[in-house]
Amino acid sequence: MKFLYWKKWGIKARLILITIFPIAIMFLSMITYSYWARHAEVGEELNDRGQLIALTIASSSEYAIASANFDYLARTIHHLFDTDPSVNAVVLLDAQKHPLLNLKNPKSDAEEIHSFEAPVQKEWAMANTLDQLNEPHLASRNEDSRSSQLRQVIGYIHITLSSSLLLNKYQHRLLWEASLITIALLLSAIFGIFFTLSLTRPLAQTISAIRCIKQGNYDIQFAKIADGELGGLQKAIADMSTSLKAFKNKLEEKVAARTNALERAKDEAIQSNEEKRRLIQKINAVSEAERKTIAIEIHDHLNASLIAARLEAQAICDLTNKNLSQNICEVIKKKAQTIISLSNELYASGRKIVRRLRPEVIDMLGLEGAVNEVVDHFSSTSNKSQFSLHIIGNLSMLDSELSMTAYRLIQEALLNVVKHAQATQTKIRLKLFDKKTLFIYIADNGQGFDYQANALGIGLIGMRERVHSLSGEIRIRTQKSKGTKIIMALPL
Amino acid sequence: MIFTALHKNLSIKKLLLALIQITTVIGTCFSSISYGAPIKSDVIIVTGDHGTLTKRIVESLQNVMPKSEIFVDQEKMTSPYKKGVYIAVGPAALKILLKKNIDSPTFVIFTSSLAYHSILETTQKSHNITAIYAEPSLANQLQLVAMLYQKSVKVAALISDKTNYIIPTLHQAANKNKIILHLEKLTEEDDLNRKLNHIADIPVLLAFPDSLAYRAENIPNILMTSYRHNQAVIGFTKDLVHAGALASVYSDIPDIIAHLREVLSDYETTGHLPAPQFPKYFNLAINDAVARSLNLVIDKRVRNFYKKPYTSE
Repeated sequence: MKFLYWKKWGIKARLILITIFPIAIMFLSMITYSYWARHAEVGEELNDRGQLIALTIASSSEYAIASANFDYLARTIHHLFDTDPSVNAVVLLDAQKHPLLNLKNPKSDAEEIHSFEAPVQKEWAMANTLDQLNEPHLASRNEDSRSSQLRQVIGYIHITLSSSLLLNKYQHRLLWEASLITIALLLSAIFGIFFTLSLTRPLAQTISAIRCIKQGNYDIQFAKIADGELGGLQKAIADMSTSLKAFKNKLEEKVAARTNALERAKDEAIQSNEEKRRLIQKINAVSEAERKTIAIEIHDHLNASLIAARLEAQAICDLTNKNLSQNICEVIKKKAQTIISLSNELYASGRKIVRRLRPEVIDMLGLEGAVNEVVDHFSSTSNKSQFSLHIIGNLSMLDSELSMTAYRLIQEALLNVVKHAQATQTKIRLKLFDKKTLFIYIADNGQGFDYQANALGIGLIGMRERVHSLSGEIRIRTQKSKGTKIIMALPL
Repeated sequence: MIFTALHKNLSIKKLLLALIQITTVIGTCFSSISYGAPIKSDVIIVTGDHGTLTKRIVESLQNVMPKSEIFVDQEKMTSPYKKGVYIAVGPAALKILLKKNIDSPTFVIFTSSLAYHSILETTQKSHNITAIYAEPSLANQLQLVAMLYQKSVKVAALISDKTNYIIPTLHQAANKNKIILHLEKLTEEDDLNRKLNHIADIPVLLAFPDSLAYRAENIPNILMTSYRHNQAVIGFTKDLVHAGALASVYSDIPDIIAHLREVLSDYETTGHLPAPQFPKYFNLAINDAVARSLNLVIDKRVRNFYKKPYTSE
């Protein structure tokens, strides 16, 4: 049934159908009509012939019946038999239908017999014979006095015809007609196919050329340009392909140039980014180193000096316990205590600065201890928020740079929670996954923030740069009134 | 009109028309000359029907005899009947006049000899009446045969009891034209075909009005039989020639009327009523196809065999 979906047929099939279908319809119509018409013709011709022969013989039989001389009529009928084998028999009857003459055609077959009968009439001549007594006699021709033509039936002619000869003749003709029409149909089909191919071949070439163009091949050359509209189409396509090729080349040149420029810009950007990261990393490292140095110096020198001062002050205070005037001793004791108190405050401050510059705990207990320490610190300083920490995995295997970076990230995140989130619950989760990646998860139930508006904030930039400097990933999920989640993945 | 045409140089068509008019005028003059002196007697024309032929005949008679009185039907003819010359047009008029028992001289025209004799036999009236028969003269017919065959030829004729009266005329005409005459008797009991077959070997069959032999229903048979036997049929009306007879002389209305006028004029001059006679003036009708089938050549002499009131004999 596929052939019924004619809408899916190609041009070749349609053209062939256009050529052959009408001819085939005409062929079938003509053959059908010819067959039907021939049969009808046979019947009509037989009927006409039968009537004609019967009437003709009847008109010739008047004298035979009147004179009872049938020889002449018999000769006439035999001549008829010789010339027309379809006449099977002729019977002459009198007025009472008694047979007077019965002749049969020896050459005729007795198949498909049809009978015809005609009366033999005696006609009175329309001649003026000067025998009417109710009108004047005139020997010259008189239109007015002609007697009406009277007829009297004096006998009958009964003939039988065989239609087989006629049928054979018409069938023969029909066969010829069918053959001629079939030849015409075949010739038309051949012509149709020939002209269809003359159309479809250049069309196929054109379509192939278009496909090549579609595939990017613009080197189109037709072996032979067709005539007419197709030739115009082929020329247009060839011109179009040339134009497209030139345009493509120009475009490619432009694209190549732009690509080169972009590549260079990208390289520069990457390089710049890389440099920036290295710079940031360097800065961080330098900053940490500087902090460390400062912390060491503060610890080693400042605090040491403060301890020494305190010791001296203590010694002075001890000296006051020996036999000095009571007042002077009191003053010296107060002064010394003041110095001791100040030294203690300075020492504590120094320790804070040292801690802020570089937490000692990270060097002593590692990241886990440092994180615990900073969580404790924020928990103690923030009354509204509760912080919970959960660590999975042995973080002691992390190197110092990674540990410090992770610590700074957690510190910055918790600082933001305290400053901006107004959260009541904050979760901190650290997990060492497969000994390859450190996942840091910090989530609060605070007020959230508009990430797009705050993406360029220094704190977030700093966090992103720290993560990217270690080739890690950071994701921040936040919505207004729905809290904030920060997930970071730092590769080991 | 002719001078106008000549002067104005008009078309040939108008010139021809003018010439025809001149010819007609001249012919009429000659006709009036040949028709003779005007009839002085009172002429009463009697007809027996209202047919178109009768009307034409009456009109032609009136042209020649303008003062004549016409009676179309017998009811208007009341006794005492007018004195004068009565002209009976056709057998029906003859019957009327005989029934009226009019004693005035009566000329019967357009009636065949057989009808004339048959009607007179019924009334036993024979004097003061004469006729110009409708059919052609047997003498002329036999003369025609002689001209056609240009040799002594045998002629057959079917004679019945009703046409016995023409036998002397036939013999006379046959002798005059050197024709061998064969008379075949025909009775009512006879088979016409058999009779025709009996005379089939005779080259010519002379036909004349005889209802026993020549009726409308028999004519095709007679003509067919004669054709098959290569026998020429001569006579007696133009219709018969058209139907298949070889030739015949015949008289039309002007011929009969011209003859009648002469007879009337003679009667007025002599006071003597002439005997019934065949028409004096006649035309010729020939069926050329039949002539060809009989291998007869119709020469100019035959074609010029006619007699008109204005032609010399």
